[in-house]
Amino acid sequence: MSLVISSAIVMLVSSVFLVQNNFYASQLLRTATQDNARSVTELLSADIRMVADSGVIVANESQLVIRSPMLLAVVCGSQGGGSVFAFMEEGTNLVDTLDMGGFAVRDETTGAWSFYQTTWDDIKASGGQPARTCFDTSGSDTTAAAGEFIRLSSLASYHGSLPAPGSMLMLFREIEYRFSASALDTLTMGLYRGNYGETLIEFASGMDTTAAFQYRVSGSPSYTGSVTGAALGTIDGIRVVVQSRLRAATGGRQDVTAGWTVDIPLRNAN
Amino acid sequence: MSGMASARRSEREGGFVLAMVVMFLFAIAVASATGYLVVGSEFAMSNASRDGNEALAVARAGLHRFSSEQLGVVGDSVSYAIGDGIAQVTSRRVFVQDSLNHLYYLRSEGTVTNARYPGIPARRVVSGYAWHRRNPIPLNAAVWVSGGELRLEASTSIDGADHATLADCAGGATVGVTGIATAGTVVTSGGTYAGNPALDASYASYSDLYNAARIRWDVLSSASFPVDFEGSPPNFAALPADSFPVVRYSGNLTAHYWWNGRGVLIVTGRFRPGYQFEWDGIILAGELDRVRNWYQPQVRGMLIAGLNAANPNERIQSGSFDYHSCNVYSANASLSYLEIVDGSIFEVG
Repeated sequence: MSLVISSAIVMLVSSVFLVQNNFYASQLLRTATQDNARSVTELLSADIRMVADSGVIVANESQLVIRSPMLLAVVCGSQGGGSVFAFMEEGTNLVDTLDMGGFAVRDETTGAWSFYQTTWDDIKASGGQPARTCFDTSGSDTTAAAGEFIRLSSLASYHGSLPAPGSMLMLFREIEYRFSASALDTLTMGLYRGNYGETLIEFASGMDTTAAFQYRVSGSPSYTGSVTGAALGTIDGIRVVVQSRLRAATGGRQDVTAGWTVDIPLRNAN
Repeated sequence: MSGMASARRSEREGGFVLAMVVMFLFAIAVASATGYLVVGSEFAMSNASRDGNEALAVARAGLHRFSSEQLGVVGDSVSYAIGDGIAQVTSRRVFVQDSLNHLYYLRSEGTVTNARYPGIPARRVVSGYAWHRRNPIPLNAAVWVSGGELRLEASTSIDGADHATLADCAGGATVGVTGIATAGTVVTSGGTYAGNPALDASYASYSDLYNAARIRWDVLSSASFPVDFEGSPPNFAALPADSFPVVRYSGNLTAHYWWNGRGVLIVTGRFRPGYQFEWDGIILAGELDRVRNWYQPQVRGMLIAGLNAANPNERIQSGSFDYHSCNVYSANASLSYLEIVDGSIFEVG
């Protein structure tokens, strides 16, 4: 009799333990899948939302290439030899020299950007008196900010002429995103990120095959899976559909999924 | 005998079950604690993510608030409490295009403090560029009236010639402006008007003239938009002589001599220059009301009326309305504002 009672107690306690364990495992998986989806959307949002007008280079369901602004600067003076002085917040501290994909010049009349691929080493310059020149010729307030006025060269060789004082410059990264088979979890998709034309690095795995980019062009209320040609310049919103999927720890259970759709308006697109 | 055996067996079996139960309870406790930690860390991450997004929103809101509330001289820095956070906005002039247009760099740092971790607030920074339009109203005419028939009666004088001299300010003694700019007709009945030219009636409609004035009337006339003085004139004797404040009156106003002063006078409703009223600067009015023949008001600067809608047919029976470039320049500067450059707001770092 006592054996029967003790067995019943053991079975009850065991079943409580197993249920608890399954619940815990399920929660852990759900947390992981949500982490996947969240990390994807957070990083994408940070990169994408500041993209300027005509800042999308490639736009299809599995691949997105953008020019993501690194910083904006204003030309406030020039010097012989084809170089200009410009105000850049925090000077060169905000310039990610290895990741820089190029610079752009804003047409002050139309607001359109002209993009040029180059490297930081190609346009950086030193010497001269940037702060003093900008103070003298453009009325710039240089108080306690002399280090934020820098010298740039070779812009005319790309732009055709030296950007005039008052022109706005953008230094940007060219970032590629791609949904592709995961190397970390071979049965799922991963999201790869890197400089355009270089080796991409997987930073999120566990995506479902339905994960995709979608695009909205100016004047259209709906999103489409692919945009090409001149329409690239009219993209004003990007949707990221992230379906994250992880296999259950125990057999016979369905995969744990967590997905959401995030619409990221391009705030700087006209 | 059988009782002793039963007791021994009971001791053996009871110990076995107790150990099992204790072990399982321990395992459950460990699993629960681990689950709690996982959920707790997930909760903390969610909070951090939310706070970060809120800090970004606060920073953006601060930048937009700074630029939209700007009137007159651009301040160096200002803090706003927005939502659960604080936006610290600073500005720096980076380029002077000409005396009327300066380019500013604006930086807004948004911070949101979580009560659980007060030492490490979420922090996001956005920056942008904005043009400071220092004299937004173009120097077109001494009197602008947006529509309807304007009848000038005896002892009324409107003059677009500059009544400021070089002694008044360095930019004085200009060639002057048009006397009257209107989208309607001008009928004289003893009154006079002159200028360079005397009349510009080329505006086809109220909206044409309204757009030409380049006034943010919807903003300036809104009671929620902060101005220097509201409802009544300040004690001008207590203000510096070079101070040209913005004074707003919401509703209809007949301004007699106790409203005498300088700066920008904004009347959101019907405005009637009253008895011995004198004003140096710019007057903006939703509608111009009849000026009686014994009032004899004097405006030395510029009067723009009919901003709410096309001004109805009206009469000015007395007074002088003379263009004064120095007063207009100073008052115009009080209306200067920031205009964010399209597509120039970006996140720093």
